[in-house]
Amino acid sequence: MIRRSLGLALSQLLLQIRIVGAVAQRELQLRSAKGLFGVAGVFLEPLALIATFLALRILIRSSGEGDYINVVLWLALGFIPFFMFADIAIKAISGVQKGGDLYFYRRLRPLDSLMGNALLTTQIFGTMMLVFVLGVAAWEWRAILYSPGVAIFQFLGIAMLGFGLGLSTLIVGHRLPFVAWVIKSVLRRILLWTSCIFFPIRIIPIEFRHWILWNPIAHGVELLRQSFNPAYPIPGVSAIYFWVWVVGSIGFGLFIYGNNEELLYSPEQLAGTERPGDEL
Amino acid sequence: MQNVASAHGSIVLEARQASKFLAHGVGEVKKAFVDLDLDVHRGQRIAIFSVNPYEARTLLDCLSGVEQPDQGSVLHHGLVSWPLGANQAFHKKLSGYMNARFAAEIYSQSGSIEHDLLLIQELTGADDRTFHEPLSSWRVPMRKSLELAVSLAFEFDVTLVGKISGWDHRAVHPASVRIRDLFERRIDGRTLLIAAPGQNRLALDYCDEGMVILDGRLAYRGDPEVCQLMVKEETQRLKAERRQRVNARISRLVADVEGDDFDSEDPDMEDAQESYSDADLFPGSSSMPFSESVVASNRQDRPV
Repeated sequence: MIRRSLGLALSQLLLQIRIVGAVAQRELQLRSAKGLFGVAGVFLEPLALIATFLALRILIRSSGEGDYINVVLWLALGFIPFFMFADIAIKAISGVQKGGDLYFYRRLRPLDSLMGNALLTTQIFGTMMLVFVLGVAAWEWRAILYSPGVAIFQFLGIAMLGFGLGLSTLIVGHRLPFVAWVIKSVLRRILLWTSCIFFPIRIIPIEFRHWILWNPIAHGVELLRQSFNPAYPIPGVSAIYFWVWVVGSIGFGLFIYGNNEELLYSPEQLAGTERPGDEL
Repeated sequence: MQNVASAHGSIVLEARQASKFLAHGVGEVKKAFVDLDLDVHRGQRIAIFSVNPYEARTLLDCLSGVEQPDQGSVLHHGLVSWPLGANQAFHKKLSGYMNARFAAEIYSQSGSIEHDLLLIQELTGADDRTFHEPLSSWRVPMRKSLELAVSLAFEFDVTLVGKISGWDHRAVHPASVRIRDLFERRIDGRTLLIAAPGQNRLALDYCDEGMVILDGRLAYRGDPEVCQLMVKEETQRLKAERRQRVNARISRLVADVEGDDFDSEDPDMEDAQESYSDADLFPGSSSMPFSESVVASNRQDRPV
């Protein structure tokens, strides 16, 4: 009996993985078909954006933070995870309507579509990260990554945080559209300046540091940088705080998703079809 | 829509107090079905008849889960297909192979994706090159074949059949026979629901039970032949009613215009003209007011 239930659970899990993979692949195919440069364009577009930011930052402030990590890598370790986080969260907030035609296949649920999109975004930004790491390693001709396991773990943690926040906002935003609008605005604007992308946490004066340290992305980004050089100082940064946010946001998101999934399918009520008691 | 694990006896599909309304012009709605309670048991083969095709097809869409009912609920106790014959998930920028592969990743049995893709390509009749070209470059009949092939490639507990175009189940062409064989294999021992409007022969050949939706209500459930007769009679009755209304309207207009010729200054006649309301003559119609157009054209024809 237990064996059969385990087998069933395993087959369901494998099916789930297959569906999420299929959604990610379809999204990649669609983006390739729509863009000018095919699959390469899907990777080149965010790479160009990040390269522009890098160039601007280096031009404006010269090579400021090169003491512990190569400055290009240091900046890439801020920009890439942050843009990945914002992309995943924003797509999760607005991705259900976009993928509406996919739900023609009833086996596919909105969560699968969101997870597929998040997976693809993580793959794209992960590839970019790899390009930067290998590029800098080739430039300096030495191993620049101290603990690859921690780096991968932190990188995935930031992606999961984006997914959790996006999922929670999607459901809450369905009930309160204002919340979705606020969070979408905050994601790219305020968080960009408070996530330790342009500056390390150690240069922030102690009296202001706690204003930055509320932001879990700042923790994630600084922990990621430390995985490249253990001597990189990260005062006040806590892995526990970061992972509590990751687990909490995903747990909360899945909990409210489970209780409100129908909301994402519900059609808009046509005027004149309300029942007598509906307005109560 | 909810998927509930068995423990519901042999019921595979049920609707509870389900209603669906469709937008019809500005600020108007028409009802597809209202307060529908329906139990479909394992192995049943039901044809859905209706005077207006949209009633049966909308019901099928809601039962499949492609559409959500506006009120009430639809419960699935097994794997339910989408309405065969259409596929809204296809993307024209993607190739036939990519679209088929996506469906196969979701619905194929583990390890049989490649086999299913070969079957789809064979049923579609596309060569390797065409199969890997974007759907936008495909001819419409071949695209329809692909939609049907993708529907038939997978096994469902409940198969729903919407409007199928491009396949006659009685044809003796080898491709049609191949599709028929596969269709019969797919529904063997399983549940089948067919939207009968436009494909009565298919419905009568494969279903042993029918149901009639009249004016949004379930009017009858039983013998499909009886259902077909009911719909036929209802259609004729509606046609006769409409003809009567139009005739009455025309004769009143003719009488009007003749009276107007004799006494064009009579204010009572103008009042009478205005009293012919369109709603009275064409209930439910939102088209251009017929009376005004006829009167206007008569007035233009009249010698000055």
